[in-house]
Amino acid sequence: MEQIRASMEWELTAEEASFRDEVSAWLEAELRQPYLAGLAERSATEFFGIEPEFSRRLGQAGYLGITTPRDHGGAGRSHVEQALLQNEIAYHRAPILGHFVAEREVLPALLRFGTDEQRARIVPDLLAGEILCAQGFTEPGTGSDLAAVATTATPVDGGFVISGTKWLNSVAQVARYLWVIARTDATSRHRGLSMFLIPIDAPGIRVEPLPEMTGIHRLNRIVFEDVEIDGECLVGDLNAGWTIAMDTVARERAGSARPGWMRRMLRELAAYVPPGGDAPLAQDPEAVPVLAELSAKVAACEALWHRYSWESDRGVHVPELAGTTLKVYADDVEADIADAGAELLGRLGVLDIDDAAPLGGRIARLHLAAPGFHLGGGTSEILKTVMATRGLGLAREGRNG
Amino acid sequence: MTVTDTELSVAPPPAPALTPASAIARAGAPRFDDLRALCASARSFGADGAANRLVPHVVLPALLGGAPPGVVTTALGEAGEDFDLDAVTCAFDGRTLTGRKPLVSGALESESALVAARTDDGVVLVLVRFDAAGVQRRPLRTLGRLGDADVRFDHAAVDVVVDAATVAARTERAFAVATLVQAAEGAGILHQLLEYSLAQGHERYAFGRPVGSFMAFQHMCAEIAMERELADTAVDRAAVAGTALATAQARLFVGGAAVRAARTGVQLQGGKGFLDDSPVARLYRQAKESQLRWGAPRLHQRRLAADLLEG
Repeated sequence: MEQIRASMEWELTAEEASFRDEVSAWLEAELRQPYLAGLAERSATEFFGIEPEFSRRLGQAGYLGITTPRDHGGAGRSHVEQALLQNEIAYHRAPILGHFVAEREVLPALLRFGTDEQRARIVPDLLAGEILCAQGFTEPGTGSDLAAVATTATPVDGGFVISGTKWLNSVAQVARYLWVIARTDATSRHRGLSMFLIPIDAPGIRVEPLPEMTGIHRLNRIVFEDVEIDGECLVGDLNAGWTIAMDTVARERAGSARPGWMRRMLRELAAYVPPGGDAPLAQDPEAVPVLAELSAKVAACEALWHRYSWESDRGVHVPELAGTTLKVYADDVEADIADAGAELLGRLGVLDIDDAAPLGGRIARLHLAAPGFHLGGGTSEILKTVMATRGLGLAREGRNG
Repeated sequence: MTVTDTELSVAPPPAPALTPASAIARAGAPRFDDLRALCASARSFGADGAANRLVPHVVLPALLGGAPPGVVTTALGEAGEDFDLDAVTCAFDGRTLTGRKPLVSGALESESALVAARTDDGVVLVLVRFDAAGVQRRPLRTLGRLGDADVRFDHAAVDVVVDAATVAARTERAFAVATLVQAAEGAGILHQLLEYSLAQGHERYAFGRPVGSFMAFQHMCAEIAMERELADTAVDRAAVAGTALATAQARLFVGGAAVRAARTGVQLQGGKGFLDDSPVARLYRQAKESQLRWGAPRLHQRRLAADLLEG
C-alpha cells in the first residue's frame, strides 16, 4: 500500500468543522420528526433503513451528492466534507439505503459515463432526492462471479429487450430506476456486458419481496419478462459495462463503511447499566478490556475513513487494496460489536428492537443484520481475493501465471 | 471460460420446521439417569429445530420439581443470567405473586410457568397459569423467535410447588444438567451447519467450478468440522464426568463454536443464506439464542477462571 503522505492533514479546517456542526444540528432535529418514529423497528438497521421521505428532505437540504461539480448543479464540496457528512449521518443513525444506489453509484456513473442528455434529464432529480434507484447486479446464479451475468439485453430497433432475473437487491419497492448490468454479447465474458438505467414502470418488470433474516422486507427479486426499453437507457458505451460496474462497486464499497455508527453503538454499550447494577459497563472490570479493544478498532476505521477522503480530494489514486480494506475490516468490527455486546448483556442480548430492551434491542438486531454486511457489496472473501490479486499482485487461484 | 448459469439447484438436507413447545412437552421426560443418552437426544433436538426448548419446557420442570400436566415453561433470573436466583425480585407474599420477569422463554406457547419468587425463607418456585387474573404477557421479538414474553404479575394467585429448601437443594444438579443439554443442542446445530455447507460446496458453481473447490470455501468448511468434532467430544466427556467444571467447559466452548460456525455457514450460502426462510438463517438465530440462554458466557467464564486458580 502507498505510504501516507507527509503532508496528510488530520485537523479539520474551521470551514469543515463548521459544516460538520451544521449537519449534526440538522440531523438532530430531523431524527425527531414524527415521520421517522419507529425507524429502528422497520429497518434492518436504522442506518440501512429505506425512507424515501428522509431521502427527499436530505436532498432539499442540499446534502445529497455534495461533491457534484457546480456546473452539473451540485455543491462542489470536498470529499472530506462528504466524509464528515456521511459520518454524522451514520452517528445519528439516519436512514440512507433509500438513496444509496442513486447517490453513490448512479450519480457518479452518469457524471463520468453518461451523455449530456442523460445528465440533464436525471441528475437534478437525483440531487433533490426525488429519484431513488435499485441495483440490478446479483442474479440467482451470479454472486461473487459477477461476470457470469445471464440477464440479456438484446438490441432491437431503437432500443433493447431485457430478459432475466435479478435478486437480493434492495430498494426496488420505492425506486424510480433500476441500475442494471446485462449481457449484450454472448461471445465475450467481461466485454459482453452493458449498463442500463431502466425505468421501473417499464411493462414486464415484476418486483417480488424477499424477507431477510432480520424479518424486514428490504430485498427483492426483480423479474424482467421481455422488457422493451429505449436506447437512451444505455449508460456508457455498448459492451463497456464491466468497467462501469467495477467503478460502481468500488464506490459502493468505499461508501458503505460507517465508523460513526459503530462509535455510537460503543458509547451506548459503555453507558449501559445492567438491571440491579449501579455502574455503567465502562466501569465494569470485565467489560473494560472488551470495550477498549473495540474502541481502538473503531478509531482506526475513523482514521482510515478520513485519510481516504483527504487523499481523494488531492487526486491520490486509492488503490484496490485500500479501497476494500475499510469495508472488509469495518464489517468484521461490527460483528465483533454484536458478539461483545451479547456477551456483556447476557440473556437480555437476545431481545430484538424494543424500547424496554438494553440498547433498545440494537445488539440483537445488529447480530441479525451483520451477515448482510459480509455479503452485500461483494462478499468479504471475494474482496480479499481482489486485494490479494489486483492489490498485492499474487497469482489467481487455479490459474497458471 | 464459459459462462455458468446455475439456477438454484442446491438441494440441502430437509429443513426442519421449528418444533413447538407442546411437541417437546409431549416427548416426555428424557432419561436423566443416563447423561450420555440425554446428550444424544438433546443433540438431535438441536438439529431438528427444537434447540432452546428442551431446557425450559422439560429439563428444568423435571429436575426442579413441580411440573404440572400440560405445557409449562420456566422463569428464573430477571437480569443478564437465567440461572441467577440471587437477583430475583418477584415476590411471593404467601398467597399471591407480584413482580416482573422481563424475558420468559416460550411464554406464549405455554399454559403455565414455574416462576422463581422471593420469600422471607429464600427463593421458592410457584406455579402460575398464564390465564390467571393479574398475569399479563407482552409478546417479545427475540433472536430465537420462541414465543417469548415480558410477563408481569400483579397479586396473581399462585401455589408454591417447590419450597425454598428444596429449591436450594436441587438447583446445582438441575442447572448442571440444563447446562449440559444446552451444550448438546449446540453440538446438534454444528452438525446441521456442516451438512448445509457441504451441500452448498458440491452444488453451487462460480467461475465455472463447484464453490467447494475453492480453498477459502474448503478452509471455512474445515473450521466448522473441527469445531463440530471438538464440540461432540467436549459434550461427551462432560456427560461422563458429570462435573460442573467439565460441563461449564463444554458449554462455553460449544456456545462460541456454534455462533462462529453459524456465521461461517451463512457466509458459505451466500446471499440466499441471509433470507428469512433459509434453514441456515434459522440455525444462525438459534445458535446465538442458545449461547445466551440458560447459562450465558460470563457465568461459565468466571467459573473456569476460578478453577484455574484452584488447580
